[in-house]
Amino acid sequence: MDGVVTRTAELHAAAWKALFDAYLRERESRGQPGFPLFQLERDYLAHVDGKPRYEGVRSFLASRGLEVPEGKPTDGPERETIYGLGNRKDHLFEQRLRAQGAQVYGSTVALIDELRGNGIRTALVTSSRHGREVLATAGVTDRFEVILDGNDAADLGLRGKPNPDIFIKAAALTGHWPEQGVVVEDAVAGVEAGRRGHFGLVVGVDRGGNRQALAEQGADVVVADLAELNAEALQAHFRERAAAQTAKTLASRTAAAWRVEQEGFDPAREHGMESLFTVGNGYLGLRGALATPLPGSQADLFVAGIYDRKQPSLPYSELEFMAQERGEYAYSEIVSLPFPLALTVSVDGQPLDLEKGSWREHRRTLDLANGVLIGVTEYRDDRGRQTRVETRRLASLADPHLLMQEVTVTCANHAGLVRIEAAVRETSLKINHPHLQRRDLPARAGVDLRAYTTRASGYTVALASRSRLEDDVEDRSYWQREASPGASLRLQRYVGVFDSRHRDDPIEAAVAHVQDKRWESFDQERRDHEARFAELWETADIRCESSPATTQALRFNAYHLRIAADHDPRVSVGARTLSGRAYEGHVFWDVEVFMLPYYLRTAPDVARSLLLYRYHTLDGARQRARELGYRGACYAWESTVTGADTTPRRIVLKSSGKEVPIYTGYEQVHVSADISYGIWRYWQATGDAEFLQTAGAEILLETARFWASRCVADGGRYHIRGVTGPDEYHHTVNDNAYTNWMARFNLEKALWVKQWLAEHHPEQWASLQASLALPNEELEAWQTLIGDLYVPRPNAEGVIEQFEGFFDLRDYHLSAAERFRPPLQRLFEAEATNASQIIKQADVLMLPFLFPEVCSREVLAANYDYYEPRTDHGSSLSPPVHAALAARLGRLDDAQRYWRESLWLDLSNTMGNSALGVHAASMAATWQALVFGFLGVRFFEQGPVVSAEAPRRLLNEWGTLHVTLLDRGRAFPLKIEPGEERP
Amino acid sequence: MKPIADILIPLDGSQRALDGLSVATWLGARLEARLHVINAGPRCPVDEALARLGVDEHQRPQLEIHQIEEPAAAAILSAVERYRIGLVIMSAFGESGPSDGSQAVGHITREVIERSAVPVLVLPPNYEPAFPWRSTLVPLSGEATTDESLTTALQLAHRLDLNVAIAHVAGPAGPGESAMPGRYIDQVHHEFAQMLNQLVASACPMCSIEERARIEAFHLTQGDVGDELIRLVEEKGVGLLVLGWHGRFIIGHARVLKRLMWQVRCPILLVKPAPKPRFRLKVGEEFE
Repeated sequence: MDGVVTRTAELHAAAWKALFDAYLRERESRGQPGFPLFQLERDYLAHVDGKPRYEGVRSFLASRGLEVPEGKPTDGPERETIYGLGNRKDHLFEQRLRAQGAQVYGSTVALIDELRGNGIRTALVTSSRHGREVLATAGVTDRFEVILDGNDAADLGLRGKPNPDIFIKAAALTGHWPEQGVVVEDAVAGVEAGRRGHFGLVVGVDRGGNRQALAEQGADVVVADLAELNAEALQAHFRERAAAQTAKTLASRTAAAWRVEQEGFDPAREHGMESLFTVGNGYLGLRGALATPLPGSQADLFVAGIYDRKQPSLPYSELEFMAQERGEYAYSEIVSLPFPLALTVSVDGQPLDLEKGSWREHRRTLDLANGVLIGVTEYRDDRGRQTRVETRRLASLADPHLLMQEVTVTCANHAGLVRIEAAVRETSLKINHPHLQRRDLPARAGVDLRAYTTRASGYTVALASRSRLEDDVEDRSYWQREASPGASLRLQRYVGVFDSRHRDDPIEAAVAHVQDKRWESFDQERRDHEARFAELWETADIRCESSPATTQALRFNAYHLRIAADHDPRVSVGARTLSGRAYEGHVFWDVEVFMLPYYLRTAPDVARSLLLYRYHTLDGARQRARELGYRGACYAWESTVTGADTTPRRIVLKSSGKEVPIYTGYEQVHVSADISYGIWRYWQATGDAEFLQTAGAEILLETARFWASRCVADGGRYHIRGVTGPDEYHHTVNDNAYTNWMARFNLEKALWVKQWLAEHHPEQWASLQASLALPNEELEAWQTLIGDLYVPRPNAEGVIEQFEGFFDLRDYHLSAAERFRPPLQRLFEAEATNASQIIKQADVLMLPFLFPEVCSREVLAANYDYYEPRTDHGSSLSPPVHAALAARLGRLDDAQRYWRESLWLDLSNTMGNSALGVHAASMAATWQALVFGFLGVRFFEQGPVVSAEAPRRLLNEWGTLHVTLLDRGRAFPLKIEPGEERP
Repeated sequence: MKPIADILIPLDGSQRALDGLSVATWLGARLEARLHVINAGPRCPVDEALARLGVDEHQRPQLEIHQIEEPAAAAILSAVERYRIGLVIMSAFGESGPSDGSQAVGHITREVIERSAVPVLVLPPNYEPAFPWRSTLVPLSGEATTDESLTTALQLAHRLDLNVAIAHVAGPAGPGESAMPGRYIDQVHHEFAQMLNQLVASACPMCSIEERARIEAFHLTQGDVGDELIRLVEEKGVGLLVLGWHGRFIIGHARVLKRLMWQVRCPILLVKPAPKPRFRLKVGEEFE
C-alpha cells in the first residue's frame, strides 16, 4: 500500500525515526553504550520498509547488535520489549496520521481504475494495522475488492513479507491462483514475497534509489511511477513473462525427468534412499548408501548368484523375532557383502559425515540417463568453515566386474589439513555380514584387496580396490594434504569384483582386473558405461509429453529393471533385485509372469538368460517333483541356486510361540505353468528356434509331465486338488481357476512343441524323446487330459469361481482402510480369512491379464465387478493387474488410481517397505498395465498394433505418449496422441 | 539424542519427590551425570533448603540446588533450558498427591511432560523401587511420534547395561489398528519379519551396532494395547518403560499412557519425537 497507493511512507519513516532515536538516547542516558541514530536514507529501506511492525523493530535492533526481550503483544509502549517498542511506534504513527492525513499517488489510482474497467479484480495488502484507516483517510477504499491489512494477517495467522502468505491469501479471495495475478510493490521484501508466491508478474515501483535491489529480488519490471504503465502494457508484460516461464519450466522439468533427487537428510528414511539409489549392472548391486555410511546403514553389496545358508542373527533379512525352519540348505539367502566404496574425510581432525558433521546442504541424485549416483554435501563448522564433498559412483554396464568412484573435496572458504581414506567398510563383519569369513591375504602394493568365503556354500568373492589422488604418483588408500581455500582434491577409484562362480581364482582375477585399468582411461571407462545406458534408453524409454513426473517414474522403473538383470544364464531376478535383503534374493513366479513380458519388448537377450536360469535349475525341479510324489518337473516356489525350494513350512512367533503354517512352498505349484507361459511368450516375441528346440522344449515337456501326474481323475473329469493360487489367503483349495487354466495351457504348449519339433527338427525330437523317456502313449494321454481337465467357466452372471466352493464362503465387506493396507489380523487370524471371500491379490483376474484375447468384455466386466471389491491388495502385484483391466474396460478412474499406486510404489514408498529393496515385478507390471492395458497393444506379423481405443484411455496428465517396443528383432517406435473424446 | 550429562530433579519435600532423587542418584552414578535439584519457592540457605526438602545429608554434596521464585512447572522448564538438562525425573504427583482417581498425573507433572523438549522420567503413583534395572520395554506403534523412544532407550540401555525388548501390539480386530510401516503382506514369512526389521531400523538409524545389539526381543502381540503392555511389563519384570508420545495429555489423548501410569509400578520414560528433518525427494507431487 504505502509507496504504491498511498504516501504514508514519510509518516512511517518519521515515526520510526522518532521511536528509535528516543530509545537509543534513553539507553545512553542510563549509561549503556551509544549507537548511531536511525538514518532515514539507510535504515528505513534496509530494516523496516514493508515489514510488519514488530519485525521492523527486531531488524533495526539487530542491525545495532541490540537484544531486548520479545515481550507480549499487549505490552504497553513504555515496555522495553520488541512488542512494547513496536506499539510505541504505532502511537507515534497514529499521531502523525491524524495530524497530517494520507495522500495517494494519482497515477496509481488511474491505473487501478483502468484495470477495473477491463474487468480485472484488485486486492490491496499491507502489513500496516492501520491499512483500512489509511485507505479511508485517502478515500480509495472502494477501489479494492479485497483488503488485507496487518490485523487481518494476525487474525489469519499469515506471515509477513518476504513470506508470500498474505499475497497468496489475497489472490485466493479474488478467486484466482497466484500465477494469474500481478503484484505491484515498492518494498524489496514485498517484491520477494511476490516472487516466492509464484505470481504471474511482479512490478517494482522505485520511488528512489531502490531499482537494483527490486530487480535483484525478482521484479520483472521496475518503474519509477505507475504512470509508465497502462492496462495494455501490463498485460503485454504478463504474457511475455508467462511465455518465458513456460519454456523455462518445461525445459527444466524435462531435464529433471532424467534424475531422481533427494534434498536434505532424514536418517529414518536412509534405508529407503539406499534402495532407490542402488547402482548395479545385473552382476552386482550396490545399495545407495552414503559414501560415509551411518552406523545403521544397510550398505550392502550383492553379487548375483552368491547365496549361503540361513543366518538368523540380527540385523539380517529375517529377524530373530520370527524363527523358521530352513534345514541345512546351503543356498537359502542372498549374501550381503561389505560396502566397497566407503570413504572417510576429515578437515583438521573434524570428521565430515552426516552423523557427526554439521551440514548445511545435502543432495543425492540418481542420474538415470547415465546410471551414475551423485552425492553432494556441504558442511559448515561452528567457525563458519565450509567444505564441500562431492562423490560419483557407478557400476559399469560395459564391464560388469567394475565399480568406479570419483570424490572431490573442496575447502570453500578456508585452508585446512584434509585427510581422505578410501576403504572397504568391514565394521562388525560378524553382525552385518554373518555369512562371510574373511580370507587372510598377503598385502599387494597399491591394491586394497579383500576376499571373503561364504560359510556353507563355499563361494569366494574378492574385492580389489585401487585409488589415486589426482596429483599423486602412486596408488594408495590414505592421503593427507594441506588444502588452500577454493582448491579441490580429486580422488579416483576402481574396484574389481569377482567370485568363484565365474573364475577359478577370483582373487587374482580381481587384482589383475584393477591393475589393468589405467588412470588416464578413467573418463573413457565412464563413457563406455554411459554409452550402454544410452543404448538402453533407445528401447526402454517411455515419455509422457505433458507429465515429466510420470516420465521420471517410468524411467526410474526401467533403470532398476535394467540393473537387476544381465546375461548370466545361471541367475535370475530376485523379488527385490540386488537392491535389498528382502525376500532373501529368492526367485518367484514374478519373473516369468510380470517381468519377462517387459524384457521381451525391451531387452530380449536378457529375457533369454532369465529363461535359461530355469533350464539350469530343471534338475532341481525334477528332484522336487519326485519329493512331492509326482513326475516331471515341479519348479520351486522360492528358488535360488539349485532349483530346490527354500520356502519354510511354518514360522514361529517367538514371543507367543504361535505357529503360522506356510502353504505356498508345496501348494503354489502354478509356478511351473507360469514358466511355460514365459517360454511361450518368448517364442512369440523372438522366434528364437534354437532356444525352443533345446531348453524351451525340455521345460515345456517336463512341466507338462508334472501336471499329468498332479491331476486326479474323478467323476469323468480331471481335477487339481490341494493347491494355493495367486490369492494366498486361501490355501489347500481344489480346482483353482488360475492353476487349472495355466496347467492346461502348459499341456497344450508341450504338445505343440512336440509337434513342431517332430515336423521341423525330427532328429532333435527323437533325441529329446529318448532322453526324457517320453513314450507316445504318455503324450496321447496329455491330449485326453487337456480335454477332460476341469477348468472353471463363467457362470450365468459371467463370473468364474476362483476355486471349488469359493462362492459359498463368508462374504466380507472390505472397509476402505483395509484396502491397500491389510491389517495384522491377516496373520493372527489367517484361518478366518481363509474361510471368507477376502482376496489378497488378483487371481481369476490374472487370466484376462495374461490372455486378453480369451474373454469377452462382458465376462471381463463381470469378473472385475465381482472380485475387485473383495480384494485388499495384499501384494504389490495386484494394483497393476487391476489397472490394466480397468483401463481395458474404460474405467479410467479405477485405472488411474491403481496405476498410480503401482507407478510410484517405490518412489513414494506407498507400501512402506521399499527400504528393503525395490519391487521389480510391480515395476514391470506397471509397464504391462500401460502397454497392454491402457494402450491395448497386440502383436501381429507386421509388428505391434495399438488399440483403436487407446487415445481415449490415456490419462489426462500424460499428453502424447512415446514408447518403443521390440518384436522379432525390430524396434517399433510408437506415438500415441490423446483422443478428443474422453470418457 | 545427546548423552545425558545433567539430570534435573524437582523436589517439593514429599516422599514421592524423594523417590525421584533415589532414581536420579542411581542413574547419575552410572551415567556420570550432574544432578540438579530444583525447588520453586522462596529462597533460603542451601543447607536449610535441602534439609527442608528431606534430602539426606550424605547426598547433599552431589547435588546442585537451584531455587527459583516462579510457579513450579515454569521453574522446571526454564531450568531445563538454563542448565542444559538432558533428563527430568519427577513423580506423577507432588506433595498434594492424587486428589481422586480421575487424573493420571498432577498438574505440575502434566505441564512439564507436555512442554518439555527433553525426556521426562515419571514415577507412577504405584511406583515401587527395584534397582538395578535389568530390562527396558519400548512399545513401537510405527507412528513417527514413537520413533525417538527407541533411540533413547538403546542409548540409555547401552550405558546402563540393560536389555531392550520391543513390543508392537496389533489391535484386537478390525482394520486400521496397526500403524506398521508395511502395507502388503505378501508371503508372510518374508513380509512380516521384514516389516518388524524395518520398524526397528527406521526408529534407530543413528544408533551404533553396539547400541542396537541391546535389543534382545520383539514381542508381536494382538489385543488391547494397554492390556498387552501391562501384561508384558509384569511378565518380563521390566525395570523401565520407554514411551514415545506426542505430548498432548488432554481428554481423549494419551489413553494408553494414562492407563499405564495408573497400573505399572516401574518408571515411565516419556520421549517426544525429534523435530522433523529437512528432507525432500523430488518425485510425484514433489517433482519439479
